[in-house]
Amino acid sequence: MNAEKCEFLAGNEPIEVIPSISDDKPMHLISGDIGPFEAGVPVRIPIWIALLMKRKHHCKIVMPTWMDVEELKRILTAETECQGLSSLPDYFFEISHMLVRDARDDIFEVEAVKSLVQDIYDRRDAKLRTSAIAFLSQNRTCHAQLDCVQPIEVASARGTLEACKQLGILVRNKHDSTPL
Amino acid sequence: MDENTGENQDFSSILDLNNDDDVITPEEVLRKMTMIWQNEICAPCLLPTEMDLVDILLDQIQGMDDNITRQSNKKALRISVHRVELQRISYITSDYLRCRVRKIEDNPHVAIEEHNKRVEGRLSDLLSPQELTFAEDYAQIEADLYHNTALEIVPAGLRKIQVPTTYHNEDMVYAKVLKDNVEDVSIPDWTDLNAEVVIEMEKNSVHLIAFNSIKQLIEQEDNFLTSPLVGCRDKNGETALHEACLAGKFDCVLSLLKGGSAINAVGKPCRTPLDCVINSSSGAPNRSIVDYLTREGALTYEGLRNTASKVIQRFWKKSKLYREKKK
Repeated sequence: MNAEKCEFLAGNEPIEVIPSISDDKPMHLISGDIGPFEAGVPVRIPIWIALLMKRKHHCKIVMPTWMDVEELKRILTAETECQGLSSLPDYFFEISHMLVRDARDDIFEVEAVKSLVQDIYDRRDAKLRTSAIAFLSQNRTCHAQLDCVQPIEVASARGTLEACKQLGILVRNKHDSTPL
Repeated sequence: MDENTGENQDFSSILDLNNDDDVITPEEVLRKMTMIWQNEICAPCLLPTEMDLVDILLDQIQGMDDNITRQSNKKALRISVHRVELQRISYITSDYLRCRVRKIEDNPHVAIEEHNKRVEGRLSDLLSPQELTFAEDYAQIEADLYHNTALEIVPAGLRKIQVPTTYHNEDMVYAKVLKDNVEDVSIPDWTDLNAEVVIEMEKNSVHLIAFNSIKQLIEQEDNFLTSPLVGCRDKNGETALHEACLAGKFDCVLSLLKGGSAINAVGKPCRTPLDCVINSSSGAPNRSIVDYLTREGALTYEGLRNTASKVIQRFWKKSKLYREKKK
């Protein structure tokens, strides 16, 4: 699992769009039906279709309620005050990344949103790093519960922990092969 | 659904076909496939094959593709949406297959062995027929390579190479609980050998847990893995087999060996499981374990080192002779 795959999965989440075209026939996709579209009337469709339509200038994407400067500030404060990880909407980072990249003109105050999301990510990343170090340096338990962890954070933690495992093997090999 | 709109009917007819002989909708198949794909890329070992789902989806892709090529207006929005969807689905299926092939290449012998074990136990197949042929071919090619490059020149007695067992039971994974009422999982307690800790699996909670503890649940698709983590031994790098031997528990030793535990594993204290029994903390060594272990090919640490150096020396001597003869 890597960041690209996380983003691919996040593409299946629904989002609201305001189409600028009309099409009274619904589309029968393998993943379910979407439509019909009527210009100016909001519909919910998967993000990957929304981005495709956006690129063709067929719609305007309505930002999720949490993607707003005030709301993000609130999340950031909550994250700072919270000891553990606070609960975030599913695929928070993946969705905000995709939207900032491909639908800049639909976001209000895009630079502020970008830096707030980055701040939230950094704060959570720091927490995860400290807890990973604590987990790896103890030998009392082999289980940890991380309820609100986001897929992308797991994907990034994996590299570090995989490296720790390899280092462990190297150290063990060195020990085993050193003559007594 | 409007029967008279030509374009719609084309697309829906394929979907309906599938509904007739199966109650699962393509939508459901795709959702399941996505989950299986995630599990497969995150699990440390091969999971049972789901070739049926892949076949259903490939059928769908084929049918949809034919339909698209028949459409006249190639630039229409709905055509490009359909096309992108097909690409997304084929990405999932091909990445799933690629991932499985990679795992088979890692250790074809273990894959075949596990597959046969599951067939005997009347569980669902681990490998699809094509994958099984691939694994066998791969193993054969690998064996030929070893034979041609090195094994030819070593004495006959040493020609057999032990197949490495990849031991994934202690690899850690992230798992998210997706359903209500998942049964509790018990994990070993590192502070007390004989105790177990029971963990409640609440819906939507995420756990970092040994893969082995939740393997069963994954097959019942209650969880999905988010990402695998580190394999761990205890702080001294010793395995469960060491502990079982130290405690003199014959039943544990038996089940660990049956489960594929490495018989001559060595950790920081430089002792094999056999050493552990002989220097057992509970007084006199347990004869039956010693006998059993020696029969299975266990060595003491001393023995292990001697054998290794002898094998290496003999190999070098032999290959030197061989090279001189060639000249």
